[in-house]
Amino acid sequence: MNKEYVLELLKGCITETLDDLDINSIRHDQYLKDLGANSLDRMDIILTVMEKLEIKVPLVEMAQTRSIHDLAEFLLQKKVAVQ
Amino acid sequence: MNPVIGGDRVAVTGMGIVSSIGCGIEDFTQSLKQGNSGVGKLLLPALPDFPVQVGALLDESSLNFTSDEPEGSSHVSRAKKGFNRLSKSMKTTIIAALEAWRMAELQQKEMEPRRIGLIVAGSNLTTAMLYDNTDKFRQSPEYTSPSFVLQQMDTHYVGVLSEIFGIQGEGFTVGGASASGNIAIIQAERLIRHGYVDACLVVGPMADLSPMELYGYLNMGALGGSSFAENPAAASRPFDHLHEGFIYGQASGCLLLESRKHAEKRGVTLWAEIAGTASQLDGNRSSDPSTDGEAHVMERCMQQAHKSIKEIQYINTHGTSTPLGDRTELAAIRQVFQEETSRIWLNSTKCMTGHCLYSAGIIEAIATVQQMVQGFLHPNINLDQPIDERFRFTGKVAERYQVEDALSNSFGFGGVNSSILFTRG
Repeated sequence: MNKEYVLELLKGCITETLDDLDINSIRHDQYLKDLGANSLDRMDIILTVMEKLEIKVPLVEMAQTRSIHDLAEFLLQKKVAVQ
Repeated sequence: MNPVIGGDRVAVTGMGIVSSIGCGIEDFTQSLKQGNSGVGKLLLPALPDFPVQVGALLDESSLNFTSDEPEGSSHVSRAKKGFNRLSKSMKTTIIAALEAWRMAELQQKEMEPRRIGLIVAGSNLTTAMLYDNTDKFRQSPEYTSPSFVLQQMDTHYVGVLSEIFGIQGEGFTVGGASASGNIAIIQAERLIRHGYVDACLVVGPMADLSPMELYGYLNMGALGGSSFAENPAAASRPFDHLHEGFIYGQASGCLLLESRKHAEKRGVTLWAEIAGTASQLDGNRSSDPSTDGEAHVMERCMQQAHKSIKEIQYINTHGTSTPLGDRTELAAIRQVFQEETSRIWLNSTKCMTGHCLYSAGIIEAIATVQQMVQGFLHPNINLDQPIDERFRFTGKVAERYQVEDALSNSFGFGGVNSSILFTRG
């Protein structure tokens, strides 16, 4: 598993929640908020991607705002840590 | 005694439906005329050996926007937001509400948002969603989605529909078991008549039952269909000797009710008027119906409408196909109408749609209004041998007949009785 894989997975989860968003329009320096995700959407996206990666991260650790790129990196670290 | 009613008269100016016998008012009405059954195979993946394998279910093709829905209008684009992630019940409710909105010409002839109300019929509308998520929750509660919490509340329907249509008047859900649809119409009629709003969207979302509830209904003796696995279309047979219980039906329906004055000012068609309503409790927690309770609401309804027994031409019965329920309703009708029962036409829409539970009152209000608008009475497709011959049931084919005054009955567990008197618009 590498960062590209996590990024694609994350983008898939984003468009699953924000279903009118074009996956190709997502830039990695953007924040979920920039894409139109409200607080519930953001939590839905993060929980879905955590479920797909089979990781359980305390939500306080997730609360920090991160760009799509940084979020993917953070999730990858957590995944590697449990493997 | 009847309360003093007064106030403005209330009309039906819009209707919408997604049912097992047709999506959209036109298809639904066509099916009523032709006597099409919506009952087919019911397969529960969680319970492959469930003794009842028949039901009037909505298939996937019901979940699309109708092609004539105007693109680009603000409420259609709001309806499409996140549509694919919604439950079947929410999707079909939205589609039905869009149709009612369009029929009432609210797109072209807009209203003040704070003068429109919204009432959702039914309680425990999303039990299947809870049931489907239980195993996952037991394994990994950490992944519980926060939007799930919102979605499993009945009031989510109020939130979603008010957002789509920009409704800012009074809004809430009402429960009355299988009478929920009628109870919702009754509350909306009061809000309008007493001037709290000029119009009210009344929706009956499809009851999405969990296998657990279906099993409970079976063990209660209320759910029928065990003998009709090979011939599902014959399973829902209100008032017939071979009736054995209700057949689970899925349908979402919507009415737009509006004060007569307001509708006339907007220059829209009045399809029917609500001339009287009544709702009454038996004081009974069980599932047993009561002849007196049912008779009383029909009487009060006519009193409120200032209509005599002789003026009622047709009753859209509750007629669920349960032996006790059918027998009790006929006894109540006989108690009220006496010898007139040989003149008054009776049918039960449930012979085609199955029992749509919380939305049944809305679905049957639509059936009643459409029969009046188009001058016909739909058949009782499975009534071979009536349990009582003293009544005038419609036969196996539709009758051409012009109804001016009709009652629509709905009764619910917990002793909830209701009746609504519709007159032609």
